[in-house]
Amino acid sequence: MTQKKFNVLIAALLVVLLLAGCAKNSNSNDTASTDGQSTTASTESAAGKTITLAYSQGAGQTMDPHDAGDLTSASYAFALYDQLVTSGTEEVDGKTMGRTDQIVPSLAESWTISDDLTTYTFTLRDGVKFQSGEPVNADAVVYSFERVQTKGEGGSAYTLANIKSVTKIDDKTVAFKLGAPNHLFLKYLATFSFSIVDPSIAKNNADDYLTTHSAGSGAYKLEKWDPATEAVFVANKDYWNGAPKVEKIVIKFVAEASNRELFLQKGEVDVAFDIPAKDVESLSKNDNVTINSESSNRIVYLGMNANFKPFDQLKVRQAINYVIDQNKLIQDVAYGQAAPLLSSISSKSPDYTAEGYEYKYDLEKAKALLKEAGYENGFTFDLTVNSSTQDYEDIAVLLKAELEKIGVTLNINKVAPAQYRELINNKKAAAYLGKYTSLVNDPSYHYGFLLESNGASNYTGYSSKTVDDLLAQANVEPDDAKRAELYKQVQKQVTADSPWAYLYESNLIVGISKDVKGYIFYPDEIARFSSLYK
Amino acid sequence: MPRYVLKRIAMMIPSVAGIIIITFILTRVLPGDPALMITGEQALPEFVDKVREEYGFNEPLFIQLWDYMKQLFRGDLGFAWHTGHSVASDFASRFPATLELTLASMAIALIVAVPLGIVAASKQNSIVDHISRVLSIIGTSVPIFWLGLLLITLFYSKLGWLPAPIGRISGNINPPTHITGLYIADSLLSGDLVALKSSLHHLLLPAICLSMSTMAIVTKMIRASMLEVIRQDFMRTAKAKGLSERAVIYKHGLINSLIPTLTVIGLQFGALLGGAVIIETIFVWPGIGSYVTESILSADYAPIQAMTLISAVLYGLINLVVELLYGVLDPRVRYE
Amino acid sequence: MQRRLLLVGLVFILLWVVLALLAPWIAPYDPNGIRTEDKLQSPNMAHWFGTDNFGRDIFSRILYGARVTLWTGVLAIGIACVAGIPLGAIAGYFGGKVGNIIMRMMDTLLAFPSLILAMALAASIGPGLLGALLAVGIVAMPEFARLMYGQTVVIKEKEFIEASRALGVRHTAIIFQHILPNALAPLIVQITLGLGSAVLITSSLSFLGLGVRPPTAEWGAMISYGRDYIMSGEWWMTFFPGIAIATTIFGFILLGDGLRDALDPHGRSPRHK
Repeated sequence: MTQKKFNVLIAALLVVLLLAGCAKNSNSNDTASTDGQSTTASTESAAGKTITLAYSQGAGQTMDPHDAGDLTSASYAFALYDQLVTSGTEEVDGKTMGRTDQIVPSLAESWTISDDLTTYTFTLRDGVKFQSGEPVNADAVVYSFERVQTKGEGGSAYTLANIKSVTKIDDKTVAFKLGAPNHLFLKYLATFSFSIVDPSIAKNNADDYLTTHSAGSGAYKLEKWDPATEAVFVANKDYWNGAPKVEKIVIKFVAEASNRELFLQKGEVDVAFDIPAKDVESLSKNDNVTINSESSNRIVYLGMNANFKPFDQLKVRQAINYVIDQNKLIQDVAYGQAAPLLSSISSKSPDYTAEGYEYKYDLEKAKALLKEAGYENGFTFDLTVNSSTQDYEDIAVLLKAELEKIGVTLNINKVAPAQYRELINNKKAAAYLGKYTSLVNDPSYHYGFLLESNGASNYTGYSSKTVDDLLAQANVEPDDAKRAELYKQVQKQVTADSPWAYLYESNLIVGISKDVKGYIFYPDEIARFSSLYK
Repeated sequence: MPRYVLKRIAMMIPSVAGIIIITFILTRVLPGDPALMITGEQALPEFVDKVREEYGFNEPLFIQLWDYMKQLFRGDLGFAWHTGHSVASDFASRFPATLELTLASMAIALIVAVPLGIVAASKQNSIVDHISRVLSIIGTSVPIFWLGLLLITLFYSKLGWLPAPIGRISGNINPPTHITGLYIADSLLSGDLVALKSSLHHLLLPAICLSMSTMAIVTKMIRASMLEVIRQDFMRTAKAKGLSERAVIYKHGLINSLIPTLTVIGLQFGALLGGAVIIETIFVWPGIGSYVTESILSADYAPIQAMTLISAVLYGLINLVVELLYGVLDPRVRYE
Repeated sequence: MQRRLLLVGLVFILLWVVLALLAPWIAPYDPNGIRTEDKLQSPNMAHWFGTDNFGRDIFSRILYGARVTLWTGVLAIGIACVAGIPLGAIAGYFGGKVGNIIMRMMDTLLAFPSLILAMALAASIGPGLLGALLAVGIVAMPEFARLMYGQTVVIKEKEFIEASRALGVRHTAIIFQHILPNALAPLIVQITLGLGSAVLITSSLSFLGLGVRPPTAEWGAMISYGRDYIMSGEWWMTFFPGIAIATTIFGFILLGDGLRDALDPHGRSPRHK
């Protein structure tokens, strides 16, 4: 290259650089000061206006509330959209706690229930507008309930809620007709699936438009969603329930637990979800961080499929229960951030009872039961474990060691999430480690999925006529006390039949920077970030 | 030459078709039912079936393959349900990250390897030569996932010199204005020093880790081909003619070592695009590697198919470019 | 110098082989023995390499891990040889359309990013060692096919082969009795180097969660496991298994390079044709 050519090249480069230099610099303020240090990190100037969260469960699959099925997408739905009714809150020891078993008005300010309990008539709040400026009216409600039926997750909820028709009475009044009385209908309505979407946007775009755009009345609007890195939400200043106190919520997707923790310690995020239990103690010593560790609706259990030998025998299943030392698991795997599980439903659920749970760690008893069942010399089985969570592998390793003591060989079948779902869903796993957090906090929902004979999440093939009958009876029982009694009987029956070995109720651990306020924990584990402020 | 290029590209077609079919089969035998993953756990079976139908997972395999081919012909890479975005848009947002990492690691590798190889060859059995040997052995034998973790422990946990090993830029700094998608280039172009500093810091460790094996191989290549040249007769002649030794080595040795080095660089470049999988996982680098990993684990077919296809085509193209460069460097090379 | 490096490589490999064979006698603890009261101990006299979060002795786990690693490597490369060498020989010997198709297929496999291909294969075949070693074997296969192809093409033109052919010796006999023995030297080099990369890919797969079943002691899985403990300062959970992997691969590479120099007096590398 000759000297002359080289000079031309340099000159050209300089010109490009200079031109580009005029482009907006995203890390300097528009009113850049003229002193030497004009470039400062943007958060400096926006302090108090932005809250950054670190999410653990991925970037979410959709912004469409009717399609949402994972926790991340659900949390988007709660920020972008409103529902007719919503979950309540209560003050406990100066902390606000979400109560998914209590329902309070949201877009609907009031409602009446017909005497036969099958018609609910809602009166919509006055003057509520979508972010587009369109009014939230009966048409929007009717449209949303039409749309939700066509979607996978939302359609399921629609079917389960047993809605027969949704009719506009007048602009502010909507009537829901149910197929049968349903004591948890209002709880269903409070789920993200029944978000009210803006027909003016949803109707005028392609069906998948809402997958990446928002059209709600919620506290936040979607600004940017890049699944590789972050999602950004900006405040809806005209929110009917008061504009949010922060201007921006940034959500970072950080899959590794130790990285979320680091981010939090360095102040790069304000809230980090799913802090590893082992680090709670050390993190609590950090003065800038508060740890919020609450028991959610999540239960962790070992499912045993009765279609596989030897789990067809009650005594074998009971023997497994006697090998489980819940307190040891809680110490060694969950580092104390969990509680014993004494029923097939979480203790946060209505109508919970621990009655009938008599198992304790007792190897002799376990051996005796195995002998009675004809498995004196033990047996071998595969335990299917989801690779997505380290804790479950740890549980499996500990259980393997315990089971060896009674001559039972456990092979750990650790598989990727997609394979795990396929195996357990098709009831191809002889035994599996399961976790479940019912989205609707009610035994009817929980048992309908997990332990009713034809439940969609009944992966053990458990089938008990007694339980099915009791559930059918309870689902239409109008009297709260009588219904509670029925659900308690269900729990006792399930515990006696032991299709599962109970492991523990795990906590949701959230690390929050000291200057962030307004965090509310909900037992369904879905984050509601609209309430956060600095 | 243009005819040669066309011919070579035409020759890639059966290979690409093979890749399309192999990846298609590979994804379909991946265990896991995507319909279950799409709907979430608390959905009724009839709605899972509905999703299965919508995505065509219930069609016979050859129809699915045919549909996939048709879709590719339309230039559509498909939809990644696990991110809720089209594969094309995911690719556009993630490719610059991988490219930046790859380019940086290639630059580091060459900056170290070229001088090291030259000096090692010209001063055989000197300290530098020994260093070059040790480096090439370490570079090929140390697993990069372990090296990555070690470097994090050292530079982040113990010394605290570098930022938390997460992502491309610190959480409290805005990425530079999007121009090329490469953070270093963008922050230079927009004169954003804050972003430049942070992204350089974040880039350093993963790029070093990724550069190790290339560095090792290139050092070895350069040293070997320089030695070969040094031992050849014409060098003796050249020396006898009175050229200074250094000039001789540079002129002949370097030119002669260019072709094998270029080959290695081409191969490594192809490998790096795929080999970033582990480094991206460790450093939470939002690139193609981590995207493919996520997709494999959640049985998301479209992105696995598209990313393998793209990286195989890139691999072919890069090798073609390397081959064409031979001709530029060495006029004796003829293309037929 | 080269001889010395070959020796060093040999020593490393023999050391690991011996440790693997004698693991049940040398290992001070049961590799899967859980003693939670001893958890997360840093290296000390009782536990030379420390303990993990279940109180398992890392030194013992590494010794047992050597068995897993070496076995997987040998089996995977075995698969690669059994599949790749005949394919390469057939393609090279008969040439023509068949040969072209075989080598095209091998090129196609090579065009895949190897780790991604291995991941997809391992995930497809299923969890456990079998999936991993089949995957590694398939990924390594084209290298062997290519090498054998190149060797066959050269050797089959030699006079003694022509002579055998003229005498009516069967093709298989020619391939097995004449071509294979003559191609042995570069194949041995490739096998040794292949073992090194097999160890690397297997441990990478385990690191990504696609390898052995827990609680099997496997080096890559141990590193992956220790990853969550790096930030909290428990470095020994990742450090020692890493050393084990590095020294094994290191040994194979030195051995392979040394063998190449020893078996090929002209110093021409057979890898870069």
